[in-house]
Amino acid sequence: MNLVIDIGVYRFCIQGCPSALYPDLKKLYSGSIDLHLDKPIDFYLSVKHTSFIRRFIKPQVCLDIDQQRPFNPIKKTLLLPSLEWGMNWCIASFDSTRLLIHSSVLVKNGKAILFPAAPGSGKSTLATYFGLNGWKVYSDEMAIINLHKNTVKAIHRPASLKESSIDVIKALVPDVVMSSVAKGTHKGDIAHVKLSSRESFDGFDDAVICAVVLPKYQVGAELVITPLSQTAGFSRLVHHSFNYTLLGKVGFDTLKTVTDNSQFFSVSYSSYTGLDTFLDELVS
Amino acid sequence: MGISSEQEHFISIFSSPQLLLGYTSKEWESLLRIMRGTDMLGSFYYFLQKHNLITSVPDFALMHLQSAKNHSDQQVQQVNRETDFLHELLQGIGIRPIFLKGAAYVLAACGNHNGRVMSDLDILVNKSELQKVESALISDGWSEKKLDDYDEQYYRKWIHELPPFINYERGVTLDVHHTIIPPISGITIPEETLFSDSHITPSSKAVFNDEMLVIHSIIHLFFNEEHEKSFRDIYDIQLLLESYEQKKCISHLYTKAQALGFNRELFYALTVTDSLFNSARIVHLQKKSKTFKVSGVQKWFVLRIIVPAVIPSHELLDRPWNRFARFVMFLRGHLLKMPIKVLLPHFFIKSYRALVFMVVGAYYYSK
Repeated sequence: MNLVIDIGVYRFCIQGCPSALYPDLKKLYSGSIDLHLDKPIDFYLSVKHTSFIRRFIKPQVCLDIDQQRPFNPIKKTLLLPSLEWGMNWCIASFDSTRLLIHSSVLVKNGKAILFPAAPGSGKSTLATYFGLNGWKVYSDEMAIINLHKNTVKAIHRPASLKESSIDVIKALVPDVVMSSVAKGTHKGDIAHVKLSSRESFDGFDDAVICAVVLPKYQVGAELVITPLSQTAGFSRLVHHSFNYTLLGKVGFDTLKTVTDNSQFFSVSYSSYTGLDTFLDELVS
Repeated sequence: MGISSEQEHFISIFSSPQLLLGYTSKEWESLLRIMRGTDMLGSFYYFLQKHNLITSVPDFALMHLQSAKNHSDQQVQQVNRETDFLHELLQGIGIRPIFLKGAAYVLAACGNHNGRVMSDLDILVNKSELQKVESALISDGWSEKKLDDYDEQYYRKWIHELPPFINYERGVTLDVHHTIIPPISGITIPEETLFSDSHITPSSKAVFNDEMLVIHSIIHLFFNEEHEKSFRDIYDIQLLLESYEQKKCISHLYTKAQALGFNRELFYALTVTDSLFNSARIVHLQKKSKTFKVSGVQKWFVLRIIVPAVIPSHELLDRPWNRFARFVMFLRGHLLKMPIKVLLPHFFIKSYRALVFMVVGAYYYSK
C-alpha cells in the first residue's frame, strides 16, 4: 500500500508501507497523510523485503530510495524510526537549495530559536516539552534556513524521543500523543510524539531567527546560561550544518546573516523550570 | 524484445528536449526519479541548461536538479584539489600518473564532466612503479581499503591491481591501475602506447589524448559486467563523442580503435549512441568507407541485448527483457575478463555468497 506524507516543504511517498504501521503514522501525521494527491512527490521510500525467506522468518525489511539504499536492513517491527531517519536522510542528502543545520527549532511571536546539538544532547526532548507548552516546533531535528535570509521554514514532523526521554515526557505531559515504542534500534528505544495538528501547522509561516541556544542536558545540573560570542556561535553552526561546505560562499553569506541577527548562548540544565522564562525573554 | 513505449518516451527527451515543455508535474516527478536512480540528476541539469530549458522546469523539480548540480560542482572543486595533491606527491618520487575517467574529464574539461558524479579517483602508472606508488600513498596518509579476504585475493591474483586506497581524512577513494583492461582478459595494450597517448593539461597533469579518452570510456563500459547504471556511461560516451567531433573527424577515432583492436567495441558504442540519441555516426563513417566488419548476429546483439541492457533499470522503466539483457551482459562481462578455469571457481564462490545473502539477508559478510 502506498501512503503520501506531506510535511509542507517536501512530499514523501511510502511505497509498500506495511498496514501494521498505519495506526502510528495516522496518529503522528493525521491531516498530512494523503494530502494533495495530485501534487508531485519529492521522495519515494520503498519498503522492500530483503529476501523471500526473510518475509517469514525474523521478518527483515530495507528502505530503497530510487535505487539507493542508505541503511542496513532492519527488523520489520522497527520500521517506524527507520522511515523517519530515511526522510531525514532524503532532506539532508538531496536538498542543497537551503542551508540545513542539525538543530531543533522553536518559535513564538514569529521569532525562532535554534537549538543545534549532537545526538543525545536533549534537543528533541526540549523541543517536545516546549512544543507541548505553548511553543511551535518547526522541527526537532533540522533547521531549514532560506538562503541569503535570516528565516527558517517549518516541516510537519513528529519529534523523536530516545530511551529515558520517553518516560520523562510521559510524566511531564500525561496527555501526549505518542507512537508505540520501537525497542532495541541501534539508537536504543525510540518513540515519536505528535506536536501539532495539520491545521495549526498550516499557519507556521517562515520565522525570523533571533537566537541560537546550544543545549546540554545534564542529570542534576543547575541551570547555567552562558552567553557566547558571535564568532563562537558561527563556528558551532558550521559544525552542526549538513551542507555548509556544499553551499560554499552562499552558505557562508547565509550563516553570516543568521549570526549578525542572533544572540548566542550555551545552556546546561536538568529541568525546564527557569529555562522557560529565559526563552520567553529571547522572543519577547 | 527491444524497447517499450515508456522507454522510447524517456529516450526521446535527449534528441527532442522541447518535449519537456509539455511535461506535467507528475511526468517530471517520474523523470527525476529515473535520473536520480541512474546518477544523472546533475548531468540532466546541465543538459537542460544547454537547451535553455531551466526556466521551464517546475519549482519542485528545480530544487532537486539545482541540489544535484551543487553536489557535482563541489565534486569538480574536490577533483581539482585532490589531483593537485596526488600530482605533487607522485612528482616527488619522479612519477607522473595519468588521471583516468571522471578526474580526466574534469582536467581535460571535456564538457561531460558537468553534473557528473563520481565515486572515486583513478590513476594509471607503470606496472614497475606500483610498489613505489603504494608506499608513497601510505606514507601520505592513504590506507588500503579493507576488502573481504576472498575479494582481496582475487584483486591481487587475477586483476593484478592494488586494492583501492582511501583517505579517511578527506573522504576520497583512489584506484591505482597499471593497465586499462584486466590482463586476464588476454588483451593487452602495450605500456608504451598507453603512456605515449597522453596529453598534458595546462595545470601540467597527464590525461589520455582525445582518442584514448573516448576509447577508454568505451572499453570500460563494454568490459563491465554490471549494467544497472550504464545509461549514465553511454550518455557520457555520447558527450565525449560530441566533444571529439567538435575538434576532429570521427574517422580518426575509427583508425585508432582499429589499431588497438577495439573495433568491435567502437561499433557497439556508435550503434548504441546512434540508436539512443539519434546520432548517425555509423552512416557517416560508411560514407568515408570506414565500415565495421560485423556479423548479423552482432548487429542483432547490439540492438536487442546491449541497448535494452543500458536503458535505466529504474522500476518505472524496467521490463523482463531488460533484466534478461543485463543478465546476458553480466555473463558476457565475466567471460571476457576471465578464462573459464578461473571463471567457474569464481562463479561458484560468488553464487554461494549470493545464496547466503538470499537466506540470511545481505550484510552477512560485512565487517
